[in-house]
Amino acid sequence: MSAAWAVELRGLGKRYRLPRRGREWLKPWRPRRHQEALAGVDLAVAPGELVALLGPNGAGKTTLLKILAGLVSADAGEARVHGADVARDPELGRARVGYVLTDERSFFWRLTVRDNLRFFAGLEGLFGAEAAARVEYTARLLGLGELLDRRFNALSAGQKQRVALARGLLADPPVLVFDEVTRALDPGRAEQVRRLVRELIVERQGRAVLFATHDLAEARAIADRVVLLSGGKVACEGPFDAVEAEVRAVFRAEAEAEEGALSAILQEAR
Amino acid sequence: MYEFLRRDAKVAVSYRLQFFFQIASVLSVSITFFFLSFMLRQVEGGIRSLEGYGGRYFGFVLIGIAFSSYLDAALRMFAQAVRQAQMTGTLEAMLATRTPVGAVVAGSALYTLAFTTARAALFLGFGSLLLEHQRLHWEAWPGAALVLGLTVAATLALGVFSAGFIVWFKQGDPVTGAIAGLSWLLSGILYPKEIFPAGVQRLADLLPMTHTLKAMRLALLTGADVSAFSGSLVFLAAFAGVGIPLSLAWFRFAVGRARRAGSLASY
Repeated sequence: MSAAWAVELRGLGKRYRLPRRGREWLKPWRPRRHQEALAGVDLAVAPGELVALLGPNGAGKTTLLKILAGLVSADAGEARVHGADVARDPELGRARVGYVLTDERSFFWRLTVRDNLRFFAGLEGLFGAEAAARVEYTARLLGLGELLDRRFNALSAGQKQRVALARGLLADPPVLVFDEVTRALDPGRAEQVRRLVRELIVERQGRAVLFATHDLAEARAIADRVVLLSGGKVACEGPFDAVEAEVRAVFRAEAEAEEGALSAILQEAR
Repeated sequence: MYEFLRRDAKVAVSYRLQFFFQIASVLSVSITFFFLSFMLRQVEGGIRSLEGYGGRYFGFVLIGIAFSSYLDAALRMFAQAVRQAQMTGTLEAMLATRTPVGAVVAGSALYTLAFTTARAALFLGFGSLLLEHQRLHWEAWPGAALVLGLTVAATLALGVFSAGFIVWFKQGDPVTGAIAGLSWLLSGILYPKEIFPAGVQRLADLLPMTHTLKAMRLALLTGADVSAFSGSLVFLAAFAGVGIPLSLAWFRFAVGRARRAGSLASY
């Protein structure tokens, strides 16, 4: 293990217990069925590196990011952030990893941008003058200086995204994780977010970023390296161009499987 | 904690009309019970179960209403704070910060506790203006404050227990409905518990609210000192002393389970 890595995962595993259904309730002594979300993931991210975490829906991307952020506990393996195992100590994960949630519902709509950021600064352990200064700094960094006293619900979608990024930077974490943050944005806004992450957070500030997406064009545009998760395992990793064929093959197989299911539904409907 | 209080106060005040109606309801409920007691005036001298509390129904029910609203809020506030944050989508963002889950839940309930305390004080303040042939013994405030503190501790234990259910099962909290229902029925909020048979009264004595109301009425309506309701204080302290560690252990267990299931912020 090396503390030189910002993030280092070794054999990370996570299984979710599935709810009982039907006749299973009649035999409660039988072990519950499980779904394997992560099956021994090995992965490393260097400081100042942006790694795109690619994978079809259900590949385990969100679980992996939530383990790093201390929101989900791992069943096996290690998840080290600058040397400390956050899989064992979720509180360390919350201190060292910024989990950037860009869902606008994760803010208090009737409060101003300043009040929102002050509140989350407080949750990160920043109070008084220190919190005020940090809020001003991150807001200005993201071009929100003029909007600080505007209510959150009066902001445009793009401005809300920038407030979300500002929130992620409040605690000054060395590692940031993004979970499909551009999914609900129009192409222009998505590009703005990508540029802020790439140029501001990675290149200028030198933070390590894990950026989960299922958009191949996005991964190509933003990442130094991509890691493809499939069925809870790392299927391949490397610069996008080097692994593109393999990535496309996995996505194609996934699409074909869904196509088969869709055809069956449509046929039954006829 | 201050950040939570500030946030919730700002949100509450931003809904001005709702804020106004919450305050106005205190006045309308007080006036409603004033007229009910006005109707009972001719017979209240013959109600023996009121004698221990000054003999007047309005004073009796004023204390019941003021502190029962407190019970309802204390029982529900943690579970409500968790549920509301789950539904609005703010819970995950809060849980991703350095603040521990327990502190997030406690902080989110703080405004409700403060508002309900203020509401109870408003009930007492406004109600005392309507009292006739009776007065509130404000000089007994140290005893009343002690009762209030122990009531908070006892009901918070139940509230935290209820929040654990919401964290784990998301819905179907069995605690608050049962305790609130039994308290309204048996603990003497609107009528003295002494009207029940002895067996039912013994059941009522297992509820914290029964002891809160008895002690509060003795302190504020008769000016009795602490020794007159020491039994109730001991019950409330014992309830809190056993209930708080148990409920915290249950809450930690529920959070750990939800974290393993990956369902901490889902609803």
